[in-house]
Amino acid sequence: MAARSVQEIAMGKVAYSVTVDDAHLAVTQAIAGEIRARGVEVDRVIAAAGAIRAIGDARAAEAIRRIEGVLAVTPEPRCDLPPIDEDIPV
Amino acid sequence: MTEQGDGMGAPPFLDLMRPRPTGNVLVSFLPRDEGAQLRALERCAQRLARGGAWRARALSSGEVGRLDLAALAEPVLLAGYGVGLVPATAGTAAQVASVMAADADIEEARPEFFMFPIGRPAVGGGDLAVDDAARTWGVAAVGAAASPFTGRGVRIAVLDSGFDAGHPDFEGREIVAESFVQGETTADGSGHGTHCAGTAAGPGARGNRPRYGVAPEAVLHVGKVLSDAGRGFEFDILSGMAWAIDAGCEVISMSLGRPAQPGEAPSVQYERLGRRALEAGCVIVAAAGNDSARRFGFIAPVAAPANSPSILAVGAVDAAGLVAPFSAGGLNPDGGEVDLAAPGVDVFSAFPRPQLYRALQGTSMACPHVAGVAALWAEAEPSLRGAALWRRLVETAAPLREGARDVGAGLVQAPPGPTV
Repeated sequence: MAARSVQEIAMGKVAYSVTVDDAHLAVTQAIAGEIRARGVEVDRVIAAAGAIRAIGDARAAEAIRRIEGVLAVTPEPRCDLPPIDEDIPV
Repeated sequence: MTEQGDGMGAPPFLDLMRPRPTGNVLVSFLPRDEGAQLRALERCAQRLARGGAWRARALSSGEVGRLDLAALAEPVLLAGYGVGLVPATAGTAAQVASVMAADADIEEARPEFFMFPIGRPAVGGGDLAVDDAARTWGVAAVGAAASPFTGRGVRIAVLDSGFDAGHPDFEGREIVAESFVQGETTADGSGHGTHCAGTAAGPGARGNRPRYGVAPEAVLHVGKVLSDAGRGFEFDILSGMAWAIDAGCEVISMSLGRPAQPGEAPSVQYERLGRRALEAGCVIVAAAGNDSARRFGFIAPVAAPANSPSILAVGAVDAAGLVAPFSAGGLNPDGGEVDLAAPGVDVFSAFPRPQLYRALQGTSMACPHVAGVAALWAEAEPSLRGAALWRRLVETAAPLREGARDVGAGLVQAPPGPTV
């Protein structure tokens, strides 16, 4: 169920967060199929969010951007906690 | 809203935060050679009716460092330092320590304790409420202590670093748990998730333990989306959100985020799930973020995902009702506002074993106060779900002296009992 960790992603490849536009939200799975058809690995799809996690290099990101219905392609963002410490707000 | 308490003297939760024994006995030897010290350890074993089964070993500091001291089977001597560690397998740590302290070659023997970072004691004294033996200041300040509702049957999802399911305060509680972090169980390696879950849905008062949970009878759904190292990938977080919505949770608490820049638009992905949640009768609340440094005049924008218009952003206030110096402000439009404020300074709650309790600060602590109050409202009026529940939370907030940029509609408030 969980996505692969960064450590497991091959050198030179990046986990990309692909956002589908509103007009294509209902066909998010089909867009994931389009990404796969371009030889790019799709790791996870969250259709309700129009979100696709794809793993590839910079050229893969460019290829995904050219697919109709793709709103944005960015390296997958992270939310990190600071150390747990009484003096550091968390 | 103002509540007076005994703000003088020792903090009321000090007993709960005292040192906890590891089960081993720490032995300090009189100045003797290593052989005499080892013999003393073995002599004590015989006196403890272990029949000499112990084989004491002298180890270097590096070798001791590699031992699993939680599973120590035989005594060890830290060579050259005159200090030994003995497992209390032949009795309680106090019994073993008594026998060993009586030995002619031993100067002192006492239970070994877990050592934790030194924190500031949670001392109350503010205007909203102070900690007392019955409940935390936060539970009182949001009106939960005086509310007849407990969140019974309402499902609260806490998407965080997991949860210590063996924590004694949660024994017998129905808890649904799922990990979205690769290679990790739902166990909480950070402590952050257990603390936040404790605030949202921890237990009522018992013995010398105060009530620190806002909704003690809510059904806790734990979605682990942050790793033991405190790292969260957004697809794990999005997956956890979708899981909680599909599970029918009425409330989702997300004490997590990443900084947003001035002018930054909210994430389309988070916003879609926020809307989906509201349509499904679920309110998502999120921590506004801790990147302000108000003592120097700097205010950071509300972080993502709290900056999504369909996710309720929670800022932190202290016991005086003042915005916490770290709490983000509503600088960005279109979702970047702070919607509500809640207690987020010196918040006493659960922490994974063996520590059990800790007082922490942050909008992470404020967020589950709002989640818990939302559960109380959801129990009080079953028609309050989704957007209606959001509106009720905002409409019933208690005004604060601080401006809306920093505390939104004010301090979240639990449903009062029926007026007589």
